[in-house]
Amino acid sequence: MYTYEKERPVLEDRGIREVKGKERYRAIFDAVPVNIRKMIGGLSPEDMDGIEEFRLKAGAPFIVYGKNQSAFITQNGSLTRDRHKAYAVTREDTEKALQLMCDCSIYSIVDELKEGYITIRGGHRVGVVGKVVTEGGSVKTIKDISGLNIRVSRQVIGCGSGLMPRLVRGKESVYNTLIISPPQCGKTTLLRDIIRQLSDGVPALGFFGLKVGVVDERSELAGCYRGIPQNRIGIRTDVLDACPKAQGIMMLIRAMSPAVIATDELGRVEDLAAVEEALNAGVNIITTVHGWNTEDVLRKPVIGELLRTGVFERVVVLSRRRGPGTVEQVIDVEKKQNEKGFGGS
Amino acid sequence: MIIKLFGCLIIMACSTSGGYLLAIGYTRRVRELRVFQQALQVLESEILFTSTPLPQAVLQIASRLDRPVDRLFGLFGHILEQRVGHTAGEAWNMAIDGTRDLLCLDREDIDIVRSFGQNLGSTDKENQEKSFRLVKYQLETQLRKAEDKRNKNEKLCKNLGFLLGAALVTLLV
Repeated sequence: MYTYEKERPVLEDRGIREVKGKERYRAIFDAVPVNIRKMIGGLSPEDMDGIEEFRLKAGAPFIVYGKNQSAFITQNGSLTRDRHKAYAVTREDTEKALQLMCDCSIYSIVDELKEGYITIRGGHRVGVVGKVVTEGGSVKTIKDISGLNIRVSRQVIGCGSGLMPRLVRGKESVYNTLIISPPQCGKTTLLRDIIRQLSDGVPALGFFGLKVGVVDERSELAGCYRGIPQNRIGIRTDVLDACPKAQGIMMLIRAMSPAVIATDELGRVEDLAAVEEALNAGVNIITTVHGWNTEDVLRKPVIGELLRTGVFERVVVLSRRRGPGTVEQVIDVEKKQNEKGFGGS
Repeated sequence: MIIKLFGCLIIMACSTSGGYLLAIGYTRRVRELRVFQQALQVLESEILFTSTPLPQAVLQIASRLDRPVDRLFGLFGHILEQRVGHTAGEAWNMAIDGTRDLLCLDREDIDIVRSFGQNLGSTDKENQEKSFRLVKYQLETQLRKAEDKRNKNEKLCKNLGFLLGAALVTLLV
């Protein structure tokens, strides 16, 4: 799958580029029944690029979300604000769509369905609701699928370029980094690009590239479809897809000898031990957490503890002030600690 | 005289081969049912034990089967792989319709196979297993019927063809 050398001249690393064009939506077309394909196909490329979610719910109008707004899609494929003109999704549409998403092999995605979402080709994630079947108190599967939410995965190649000089230590190491971000501010997108750059190397900085291990518990970073990453996450990146973070970190340390381990949303109690193990093994950690600023994060149990003890050497704070992915602050923790920054307690 | 003899020979050859063709139909049905059983057995283990996605599993199986059943599975896998928006059930029906003329199966066999396809891939493993068990049982019954029919009719057809020819020739001479 790693055909990147051909398609990307090294110079492009300096610019920010979003993967655009029809090919990007191929997987979404393939995932929906023919009648809905026609509707989506009728949208203009500009409309299409603004859409973040396609929502199919049986008996409800076909809704799309994007740029903090919602709109309906009509039978002949245009956006409208009038819900009476919208196409009404049928039960058949949702059931059929689910079958198409998994190549008509529901039996192969039962484990994913249990979690309430599946990852389709192209790395897009689809949330699934319906009747939940439980067995012994835990979710066994979801049947009678009534609603699907196709969340368009956005790779923004190069969005981490501005940060890279602050994150790398010399030519072959990287600082332990924490990305703090409120929801929907692009932390996963940013982390993905940082992973890619660390793994591929950054020629402009003379940074050669490190072995990166990714524990992708929710299949968001690499967007694996049947084990193969659908997003560009770098040539030296090993991905454990859908693996619990704490276990995954241990597995990577033992098996793949990574220089850096990246995960999304660290924060469970058992993660603490895994991170310590990684640091003891000389492996750097890059992770993200939900939050508005450092004060907010310091109040959280596990990750606050890690931040206080000075595990993280760089803290990046994101916001949506100038659109998703606005970097508010990059905190150099070593300096800050000398000024008695986080070590308050 | 020579023309008469020649005509008789032609009549005999036609009726005898007609009888043979009829007989071959019975044998081929038995063989095709067996191939079907074998195919479904492999497909079942691909689905239950290795969770192989349907298009891959079907194409793999198609490459290993005998003709003409391989055509049906090949077409089915091909339709699925194209991702033109058909569910497995629809693709299965299309594949059956497209290859039906090549098969020697009778209406009942086709109905069984067709209805099996409607659940294919659209449920979890537990339910897939159930529908495989059902279709295997049904095919077993069909196979027994087909074998009985073949044993009864194969010789009959062959002999009848020859005798019919002989009778015609005697009448005409």
